[in-house]
Amino acid sequence: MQEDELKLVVFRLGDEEYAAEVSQVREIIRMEKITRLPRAPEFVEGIINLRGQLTTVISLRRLFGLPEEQMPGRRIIVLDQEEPTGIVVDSVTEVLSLSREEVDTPEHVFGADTRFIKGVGKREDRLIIILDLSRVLKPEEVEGLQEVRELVAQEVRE
Amino acid sequence: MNTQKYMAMFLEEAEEHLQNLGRLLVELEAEPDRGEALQEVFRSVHTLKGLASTMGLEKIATLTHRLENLVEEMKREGIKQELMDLLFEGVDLLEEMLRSGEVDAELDAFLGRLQGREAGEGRGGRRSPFRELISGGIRPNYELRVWIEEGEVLKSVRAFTVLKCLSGMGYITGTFPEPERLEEESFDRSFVVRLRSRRSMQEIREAVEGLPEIERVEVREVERSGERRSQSIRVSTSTLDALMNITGELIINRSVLEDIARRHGLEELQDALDMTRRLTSELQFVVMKARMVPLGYIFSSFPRMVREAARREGKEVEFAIYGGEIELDRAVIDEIVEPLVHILRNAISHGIETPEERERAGKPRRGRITLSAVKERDGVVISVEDDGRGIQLDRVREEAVRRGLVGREKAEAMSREEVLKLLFLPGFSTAGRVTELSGRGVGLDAVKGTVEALGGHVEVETTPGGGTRVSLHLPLTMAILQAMLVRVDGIVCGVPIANVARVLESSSIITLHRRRVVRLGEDYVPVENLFGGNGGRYVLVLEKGSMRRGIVVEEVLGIQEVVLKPLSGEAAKLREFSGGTILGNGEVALMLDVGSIVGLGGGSGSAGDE
Repeated sequence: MQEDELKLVVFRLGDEEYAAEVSQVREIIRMEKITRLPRAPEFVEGIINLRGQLTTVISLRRLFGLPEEQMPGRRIIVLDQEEPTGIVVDSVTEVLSLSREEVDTPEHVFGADTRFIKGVGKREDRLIIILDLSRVLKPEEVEGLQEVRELVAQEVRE
Repeated sequence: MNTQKYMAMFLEEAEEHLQNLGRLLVELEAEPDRGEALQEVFRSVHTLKGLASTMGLEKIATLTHRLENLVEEMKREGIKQELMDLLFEGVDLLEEMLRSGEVDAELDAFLGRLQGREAGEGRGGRRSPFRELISGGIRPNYELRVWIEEGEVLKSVRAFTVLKCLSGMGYITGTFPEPERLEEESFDRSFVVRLRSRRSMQEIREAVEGLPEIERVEVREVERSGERRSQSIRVSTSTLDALMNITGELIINRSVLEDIARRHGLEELQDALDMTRRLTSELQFVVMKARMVPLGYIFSSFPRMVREAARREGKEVEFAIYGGEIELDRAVIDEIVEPLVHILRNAISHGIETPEERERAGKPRRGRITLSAVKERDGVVISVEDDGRGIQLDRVREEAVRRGLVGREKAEAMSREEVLKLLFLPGFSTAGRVTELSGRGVGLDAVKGTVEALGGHVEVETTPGGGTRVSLHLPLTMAILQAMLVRVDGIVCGVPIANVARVLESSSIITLHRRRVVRLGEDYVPVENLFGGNGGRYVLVLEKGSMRRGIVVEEVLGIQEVVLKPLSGEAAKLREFSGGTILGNGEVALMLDVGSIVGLGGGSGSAGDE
C-alpha cells in the first residue's frame, strides 16, 4: 500500500457520508442487544457483550446531535484501541481508497476547532467527512463537537 | 517474626541454588569436561552449607557438607558416573528436605551409603553391573516380586535380565535383596524390585512375564504417604490468572446451559447440570484458594518502615502486628500495600504526638500503633489503630472551610460522621505542617478510591486525645461473586448478596418528613428510584458498612454466581456501577456499586442518625 493513499471504511449517518481509516477499525458487527446504561451521557448507547468483553457503545447520531432514527442497516464499528469502544452508524457502505489529492485537509471546518475531522474526501460529486474516531471520543474534543452539533442542527432545520 | 522472615529469605535463596544445581548437573552429565560448571556446583553447595548452618539447620548443613566432599572428589578424580549419581541423589534429597523437611530415613540411608563408599574405597571397589541398573534418589511407584522357575540354574542371569528389562521401562530404585546379593545368587527363588515408571501395572507385568524362565510376577502400587507430597510448587501468577479466567468462563458457560435447560424444561439436563454446578463451585473454590496469600507477606516489611518513619519524625513508636496469617486474594493484597503504607505514615506523623507532648498529656512517651487483620463474614478487616491525639473535628472543619470545600455555616452544622468524611475529599490534610512523610503523595482520597475499587470500604473512628482507627473492609476475593439479579427500569442489575439486607414489598414504603423510607427495626431507611423510573413492586435494601439505602426494583430475578467484568470508556466513569457481567443468555447485566449508592446524597446513611 502506498503512503499517499487513505484506506477508509465509509459509513452513512443521516444524509451524509463519513469515513474512518481502516487502521482505526477492529471490526464491524451487526446491531445486537444493547444494555442501556442509565445515568451515562446522552450519547452513550449502552453496553454490548463482544465475545466476553464488555464494550461501551456510542451513538454517533446522538453525539452529532442528529435526531434519533433506528435505521434497519445499523452497524457497530468497533474501534481498534486498548479499551474497546463501539460506534453505532446508520449503515456501512464500502471500503474505499482515496489518494492524498482527493482529500482536503482544512484546519477548520465550520469555522470551529474540529480536530476530530481529519479531512474531507472528494470522489466524483461525493463529499466524505473523514473522522479521527479516537478523537471523537475524547472529552476534551466534546466542546468542539458542541459547536458542530449546533451548526448541524441549524442545517437540519433549514 | 524475624526468624520466620529470615527463614523465608533462606528458602527463597536455597530454591534458587537448587534450581541452579539442577541445571548444572544436567549440563555436567552431558559435557563432563566442563570444569567451570563443576566449580559452580561447588560454589552453590558451599553457599547452601553456609546458609544452612547460619539458620541452624543442622541436617541440611551435614548433607551439604558431604555433597561438598563429593564435588571435591569429582574435581580430583574426574567426573565418574557413580559420583554423578550420588550427587544427583544428594541434590534431590536436599530439595526434599527444603520443601517438606521430613526425610530423615532417606537422609540417614544416603549418608550411610556415602560413608560406606568412602570406607570401601581403595578396596578394589569393583562395581556390580547389577548396581549399575539402579537409579537412586527417586521414589518408586511400583513394587514387583518376581519368581524364577524352579530348578533354574542361572538365577543371576535371569535376575539380571529382569532388571535390564525393567530399567528400560523406568527407573529401578532398589532391589531386595541388594543387587550384589542378586549377583551372588544368594536368594531363594524370588526377589523384589522397586520401580518408578509411567507404564501401567499391566504393561510392566506382561513385560516381565514374557522373559524366559520367569514363573510369576506380582506388581503392586507403592502408596505414597500423604505427608510426602503435601508440598508446594511455584506457579507463575499469570498461570493462576489464566486459570481464574477460564474458571470464570466456565461458570458463564454453565449458566448458559442452565438457561437453556430452564427455557426448554429439560429436567434431565438440569439434573446433570446440578453436578456441573457442584464441580464448578469446587473448582472455583480451589482456584480461589490457590490465589490466596497470607497478609504477613506484605506486613513483614512494615516494622522497618514504621521504625524509619518514626525516627525521622522524632516520635517513639511501638508497633504491633496481628493477623498476618489471614489470607487474601493476591490481587487484593497487591493493591492494599500502598494504602496501608499511607495510613501508617499518617498515624506516625499526624496521630502519634512527640514524646514530650505525650508526657504532658499524661501518656507514655512511647506511642503505640497496631496493625491488625480480622476475618469477617464476607471479607477481611484490616485496621491501623494508634493511641495518638485523635482527629480534632474542629480543625478538620476549619481546614475544609479554608480550602473552600464547604461553607462555614454548613461546616458548623455537620455531624461528626460528616466531618470525618471530609478527610476523604481529594487533597485534604490536617497536619499543621507539611511533613516529608505524609504531606505529599496519596491522600486518604486515594486510599478510599483503591479500597472501593476492590469492592470494599474505609471507616474512620477517632477519640480526641485518645487515638484513631482507620479500617479497610475488604472482600476476600474479587472476580466471582454471588449476586442477586433484579430488574430496575427495564435493566437487569446485579447486587452482591453480601450487600442485600432485605427485600420488601414496595407497599411498605412510608413517607416521613417528606422522604420516602422503609422501616427496618428501629431504623428508617431512605428509598429512592435509582434511575428515576416509575417504581416497581419491591424495595431492595442495600447495606454497606453501617450505611443502608433502599432502591425500588421491578422484579427480583434470582440469585446466581456472576463473573465481574470491568466496564470501559464512558461506562467506567459512572460511580453507580462497579462493572458488568454476562448472563446466561449473552446479555449484559450491570453490577451496582453498593458503596456509592448507599453513600449517595451524602451525609448520614440512615434517617435514624443524628
